[in-house]
Amino acid sequence: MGELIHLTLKAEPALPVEAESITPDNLRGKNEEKIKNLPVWCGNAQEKIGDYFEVEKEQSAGETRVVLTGECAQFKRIGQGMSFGELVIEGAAGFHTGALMRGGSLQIKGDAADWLGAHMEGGRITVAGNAGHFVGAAYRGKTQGMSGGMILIEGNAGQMTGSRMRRGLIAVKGNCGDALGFKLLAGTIFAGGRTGRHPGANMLRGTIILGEQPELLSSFYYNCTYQPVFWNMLYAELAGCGFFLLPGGQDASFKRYSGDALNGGKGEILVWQST
Amino acid sequence: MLKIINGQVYDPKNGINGVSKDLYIDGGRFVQPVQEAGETIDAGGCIIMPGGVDIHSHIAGAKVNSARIMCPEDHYDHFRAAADCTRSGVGHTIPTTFLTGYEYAGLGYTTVFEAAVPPLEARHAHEELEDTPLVDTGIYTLMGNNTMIMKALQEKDAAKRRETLRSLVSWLLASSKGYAIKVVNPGGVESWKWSAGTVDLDTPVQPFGISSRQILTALAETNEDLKLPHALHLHTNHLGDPGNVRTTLETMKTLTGHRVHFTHLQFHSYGITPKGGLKSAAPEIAEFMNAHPEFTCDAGQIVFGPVTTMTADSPMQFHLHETTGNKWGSFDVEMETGSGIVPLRYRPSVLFNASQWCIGLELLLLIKNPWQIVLTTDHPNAGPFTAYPQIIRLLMDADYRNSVIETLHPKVGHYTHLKDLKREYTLEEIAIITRSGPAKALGLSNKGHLGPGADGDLVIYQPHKDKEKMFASPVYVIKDGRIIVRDGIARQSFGGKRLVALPYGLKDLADGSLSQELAQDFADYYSISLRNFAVQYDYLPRMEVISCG
Repeated sequence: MGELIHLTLKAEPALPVEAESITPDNLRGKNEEKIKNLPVWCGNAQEKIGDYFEVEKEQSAGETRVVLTGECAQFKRIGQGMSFGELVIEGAAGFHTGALMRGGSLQIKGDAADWLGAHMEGGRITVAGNAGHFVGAAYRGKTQGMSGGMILIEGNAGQMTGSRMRRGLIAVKGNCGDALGFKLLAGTIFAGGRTGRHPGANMLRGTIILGEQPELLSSFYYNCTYQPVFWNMLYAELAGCGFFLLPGGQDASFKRYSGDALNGGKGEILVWQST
Repeated sequence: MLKIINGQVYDPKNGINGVSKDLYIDGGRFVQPVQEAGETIDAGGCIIMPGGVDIHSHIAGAKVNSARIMCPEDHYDHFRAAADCTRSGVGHTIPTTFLTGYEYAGLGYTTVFEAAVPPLEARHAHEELEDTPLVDTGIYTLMGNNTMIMKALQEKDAAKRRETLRSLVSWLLASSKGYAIKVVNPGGVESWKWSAGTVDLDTPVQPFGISSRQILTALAETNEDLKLPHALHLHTNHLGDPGNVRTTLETMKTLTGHRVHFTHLQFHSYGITPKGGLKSAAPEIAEFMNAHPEFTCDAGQIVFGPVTTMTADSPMQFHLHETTGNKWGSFDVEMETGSGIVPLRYRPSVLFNASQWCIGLELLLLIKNPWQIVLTTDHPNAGPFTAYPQIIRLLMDADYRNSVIETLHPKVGHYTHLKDLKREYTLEEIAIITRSGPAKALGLSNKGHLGPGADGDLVIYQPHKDKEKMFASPVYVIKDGRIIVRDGIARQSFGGKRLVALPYGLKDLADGSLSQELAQDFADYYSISLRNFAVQYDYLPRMEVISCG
C-alpha cells in the first residue's frame, strides 16, 4: 500500500529555506502532524515544514508519491539524497534539488536552480523548464560529480553542465552555457541547442553529443563522420520515456572529434549533421 | 591554587617515572607542596604527564590559509558547532584557527610551533595565532632562500661575513617576532625560481653563486653565535626523492658538531632500488643519529588518508602536482622564499605510501635515544595532528603494528625493515617524544616537565589497554593551572602565550639595522617599504621572550 502526500505552499517565503527533509524516504510512514513538524532551516533559525506548507495525506496504490504545489524556488535541497518513490514539484525548484539522489524519480514542472542533481548516484530527474548552472556537477573541491542516473531537461541549462561527471546521462534539449562537460571523467552529455565556449575542456573520457556545431578548443581534433551504433539505442530508450532527442531521429550521422588532447584525447565530442 | 593528588606521574626530565605524587599549581606555575587549601583533583588510578609540545606543525599563516581556501572538500564533512565557550569551526587536515586550538588542547597539547613563516607573511601568521586559543605558540622564520642572506654570504672576509649574518639574522627574527631559524631546501627554491632545476649541496645558486652547503654552515654558525634557544631547524634538499639519503647523510656530515634539528626526517630517509623505486634507508640515518647526540629530529610520520601538503619547498610541490595530477597552488614570496600546496591521499595499497609509512616508524623505533626524536606528522603534510594517538598505539603495541603491516601493499616487506622491529615504547618514552624531548630541543625550560617553576600545563589520562583511546581522550587538560578540557570538552577558551627569541632584546630593529646596501635592495625589490616590514609588538599581546644564551 502506498501513500500520496500533498504539500501545498502557503506563501512564497522572502528568504531561502533549507528543505532537505522533503524526500519520499523521510516522509514515508509519517502522519500529517509528524510531517508538519519536520525541521527546515531558514538562516540560523530552525523552523518546520508546517510553517510553509499545508500537508495532506491519502493512501494510494503504488509507491510513495510526494507532490509539492507552488513556486518552490526559495526551497533548497528538496529531494536531496532520496532513494526511492516519486517526488513531483508542480512549479520551480531551488538550489541543490535532487543533489546526492540515489534512486526514484524527481519531476520538476517549472525551472530548476543551480546544482540540480549534483553528485547524483541513481534515479531520474526530469525538468520541464530550464535548469541553472552546474547540473550533475561536482561540488567545489570534489573530483567526481554525478556517478549514475539520468537528468533530462526540456529547456536550457547553465554553465558547467555535467562538470567532472563520472557516469550517467544528462540530456538538455535547449542551449547550454560555457564549459559544458568540463573535466568530464566518463558518462554521456547531450545538448540539442547551442553551447557556450570551451565544451569538453579538460575532458578525460566520456561522450558529449551536440546538436549544433560549436567552436571547439584547438585541443580537439576531427576523426570521421559516422553513425554510432549506440545512438539508436539511446534515442529509443529516451523516446520510451517521452523525451525525443534530435528531429533527425534515429538515423542521424555525427562528426566525431577526439579530445581533450591535453588530457590524453580519450574523450569524444559528436556533432550532429543535418541530412 | 590547584592541587592534583594521587596521580601516577610521568615527568622524565625530573626522573619521575610512574610514581604516585601530588602536584601543586599556583599563579599558573608548579610550586613546592603547600598546606594551603584550594581546588583539588583526585587523579587516583590516572596517569599524569606534562602538556604536549608540538615542535613542527603548520597551523597558521599565508599558506595554511591559502590551503583552506583551495580545499573546501576538507570542510564538508568535518565541522563543529559553537558551544557555550567555544566557537564553531570546520576542517579535517586544515582546521580553522579556533578549531585548531580546541583540537590540540583536546589531545593534551599546550604548546605548538608553526614551522615555516616567511618574514613578509609573519604578521598574518601572528594574527591567526592570536585566534588559535588554548595553546602557547611561536613561529619559525624562513631564511634558507632569502636573497639578502645569500648576498651577505658573498662577502669574502670571514669575520665581516659572520658579523653581517649575525645582525641580518637577528633583524629577520626580530622583524618577524620569530623563535628559530628555519631552513627549507636551502638554495633549491631560489634556484627553481630562476628555472635552474634542483640543487645538490655544492650547486652554486644563481645569481649569487652561493651553495646550499655555504648557506647551511653559515646559518648553523650564526644560530650558535646568537645562542638561540632552538637548534637550526632544517628541511634538507631533495625531500621525497628516492635516493635522497645520500644528500641527507652528506648534510649531516657537513653539520656534525653543530646543533641541528632535522625535521620530518622520514621524507629524507629514502634509499633507491636499481629500478629507481623507493626503499627504506632509515637504518643508515638512525645509525648516524645514534652516533651524534648533538642532532635532534622529528619523524614526520605518514598517516593513511587525506592530507594537504604545504611547504616553502615550491619545486617539490610542483613535482608532486605533476606526478599526482592533483590541484596545485604556488606562491612566490618575493625575496624570501616560495611556497606550494597540493592536497593528497596516502593509501596503504600504494607501495610508495606504504613504504613511507614504514620508514617513519622505523626511524622512531631505530633511533635509540628518545630525547633525539619527536613525534610529529608534519601536520598537515604527512597526516593531521589528530592522528597522534594512533601513532602512539603503533609505537606501544607491536602486535597492533604487525596487524596493520598485514593490510599494506604485499611487497612492502621487500623494501622496508619494519616487520623485523620488536621494540615497544614505554609510557615514559612516549612522554619524552611528545613533551619533554621537544621542550628540551626547543630550549623551553618551563615546558615539558612538572617541576617547580614550570608552566602549569598537565594532562590526566585514564589508563586503557588501547593506547589510542587513552591518548585521544584525556580526562583533564590543565593549562596555566586552569582546567581547559574535561572529558573531551573544552571548558573555557583563552589565548595562549606567544614565544619569541630576541637575540638583541626588545629594541625594535626595524630601522637602521640593515646595511645601506641591503636597505637599498629592500627599497628596490620589496613590494612594501622597510618601515612596514616588522611586525609590531601590538600583534603579540601575550608575548613571552625566551632568553638567548
